[in-house]
Amino acid sequence: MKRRMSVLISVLFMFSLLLTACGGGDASGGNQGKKVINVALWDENVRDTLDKSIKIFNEKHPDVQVKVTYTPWADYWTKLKTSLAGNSGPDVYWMNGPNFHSYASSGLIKDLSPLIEQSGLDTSVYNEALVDMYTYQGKLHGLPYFQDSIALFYNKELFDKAGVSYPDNTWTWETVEENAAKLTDKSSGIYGFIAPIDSQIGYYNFIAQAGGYVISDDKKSSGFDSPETLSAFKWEQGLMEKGYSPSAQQQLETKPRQLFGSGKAAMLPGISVNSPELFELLGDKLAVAELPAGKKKASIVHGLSWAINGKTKVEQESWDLIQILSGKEGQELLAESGFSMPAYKGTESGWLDSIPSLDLQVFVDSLEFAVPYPVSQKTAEWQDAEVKEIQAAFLGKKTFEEALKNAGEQMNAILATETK
Amino acid sequence: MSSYITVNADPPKAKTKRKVGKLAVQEAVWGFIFILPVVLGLGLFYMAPSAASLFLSFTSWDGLSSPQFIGFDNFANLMKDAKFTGSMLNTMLYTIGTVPLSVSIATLLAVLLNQKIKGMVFYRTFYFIPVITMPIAVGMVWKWLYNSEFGLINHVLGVMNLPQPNWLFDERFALLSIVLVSVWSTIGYNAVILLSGLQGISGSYYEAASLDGAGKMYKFFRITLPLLTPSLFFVLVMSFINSFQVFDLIFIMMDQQTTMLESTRTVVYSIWEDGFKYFNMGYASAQAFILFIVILIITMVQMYIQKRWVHYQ
Repeated sequence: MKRRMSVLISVLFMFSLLLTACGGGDASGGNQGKKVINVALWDENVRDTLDKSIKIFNEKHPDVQVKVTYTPWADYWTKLKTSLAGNSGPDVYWMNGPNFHSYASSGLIKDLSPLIEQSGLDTSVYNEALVDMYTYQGKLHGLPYFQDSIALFYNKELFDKAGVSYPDNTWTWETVEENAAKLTDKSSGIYGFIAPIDSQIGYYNFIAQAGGYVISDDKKSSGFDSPETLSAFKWEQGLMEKGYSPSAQQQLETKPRQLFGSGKAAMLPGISVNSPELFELLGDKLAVAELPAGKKKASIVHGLSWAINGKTKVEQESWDLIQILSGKEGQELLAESGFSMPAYKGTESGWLDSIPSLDLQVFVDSLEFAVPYPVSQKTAEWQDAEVKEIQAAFLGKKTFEEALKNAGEQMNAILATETK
Repeated sequence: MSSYITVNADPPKAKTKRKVGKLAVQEAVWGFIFILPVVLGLGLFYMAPSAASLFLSFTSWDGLSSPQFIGFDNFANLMKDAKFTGSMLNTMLYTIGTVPLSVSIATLLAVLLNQKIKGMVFYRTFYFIPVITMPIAVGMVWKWLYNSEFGLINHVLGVMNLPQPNWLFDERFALLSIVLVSVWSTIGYNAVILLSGLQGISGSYYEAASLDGAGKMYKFFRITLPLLTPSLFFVLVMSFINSFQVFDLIFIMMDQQTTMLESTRTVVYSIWEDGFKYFNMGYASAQAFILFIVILIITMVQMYIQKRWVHYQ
């Protein structure tokens, strides 16, 4: 009898093991009868705004449940790609520029153009640079959510101390150099300007300002190996050599934002989303102006969009959801939270008021000369090659002439392997 | 297995041979049922993935579309890939730096920790703390210690009027700096293993040696060290394997996009880059397979050489 029992128990145990092992795959099932939209993103700071927008959505769709999963940035892309490959991916998810083309070209993102046509959505309410960024083969694949642009942060206290007038929209590369000289105080370790070795806040802007480009419009060739690009780097290098800017090695070790935030530098090009952090560090001393111009003005714009899974089973519901998130109402909520500049034109006011002492309007004005963040299908690969060469040149291991030639060749080789 | 069955299947009153056989078979079946959970787990989570990655190493796969069989192309390309050969070299240098340093310091430490002093528990705990600290925390804190402008290490060097190198961002020092952190964080574990080895050495050997008038050094080299060799062997094998697989420290202490990676990128880092940054799964699997072969060869060589220097009591 006892033996029988033990046999029975072990058999039951085995079955339960097998059942649980098999049960794991079926994640999207959930509540029977009720439709579920799975949403994935990485930044928890946007949680309140998202919850409010979902409430609006649920008023129209009380029978649809929206499940939101926040995955930290470090794991987001790996998890997203593997879950989409396993057909268990989210229905709606955050997409950024560098990854967009690789996802769109593998059919992981739904082409929104039929949906846009059907519901008569006007996409001209979004910043053009963002619409460009999320357009693949002439069709919009993501609804812009928020954006950021680059402007010049400066420390008023250091300007007052040196008796230099504040930067304004007439400043150029020459003005920066002139005034950085006056602002630099070697004895107390203060730099006039940080010439970033980073791409987004640094040379991507300067290359465009010099009249060059990083990637051609057809995404087929690199613009690194050009005299315009070279002049941008020469300007940055000059500032470092004269001691007006921290060297590349210093910037590698101590991030420019830390240096600027601790009052060790008077000017730093920065992204709009850096504003809250820098304001927390510097308070009322912090101010912002347009990026100084080279041959012309330029500011790199990047932003995120909402993408719909190419294989989603709840297409219409997902489309309705992202229309609310990226619609006027959702965008105003986003702006009010102070999280970032919304992508919908004219909804910025809430965001502009989020830091009263800072003239955030500068970032909105900079959109007029916006240049989209350069991307293609294999962005990550050519960016690694680019950074390797350019950092080596910044560190003085090779000349910029040589580094840019190499970077251009490697990037062209990678671009040639992209499937279009 | 068979001896186990016969011992247990031997009934007090043996009837016919056939009946015993039946019972033995029944017990064997039950034996297999009992180990089934482990076999399933091992198969599902260890063997199947290993087999899959071996298969993938002969394919080109981006993680999405179906894998394309490309024969030995991945391996041929790897041999020409400066990134991979460089990372192999870095891994070797890292191992040559870490293993001897960590094991020799750990041996000395184990001997010191094997004395009868007040507060020994405290010292033992003290040296073990780095082992139980998260690698992320270790990496972050050391990164700040190494900062050439604001770090504690260079501050102390400056006070003593010594040169202040740029530890992590000068390719002459970067790998060395990481080796030092790794030595610091592994000696505790190695010392504990060696300590248990030391405590297994019978006191009578020392007694006999003392009676014969042996000195401290003599006892250490002629008794302690030879009798410690089984533990030393284990520690060496594990250290080699671990240092060939190093990833976390480099991942935390280096930026993901920096030219410094050329002098610090290890094989596992390169696998991660190709696999989860560029999604070249086949290429990454091929690297993993080569690493497996390298570790296998090194371990086999160690197993072979051990006959000459490891003394089992």
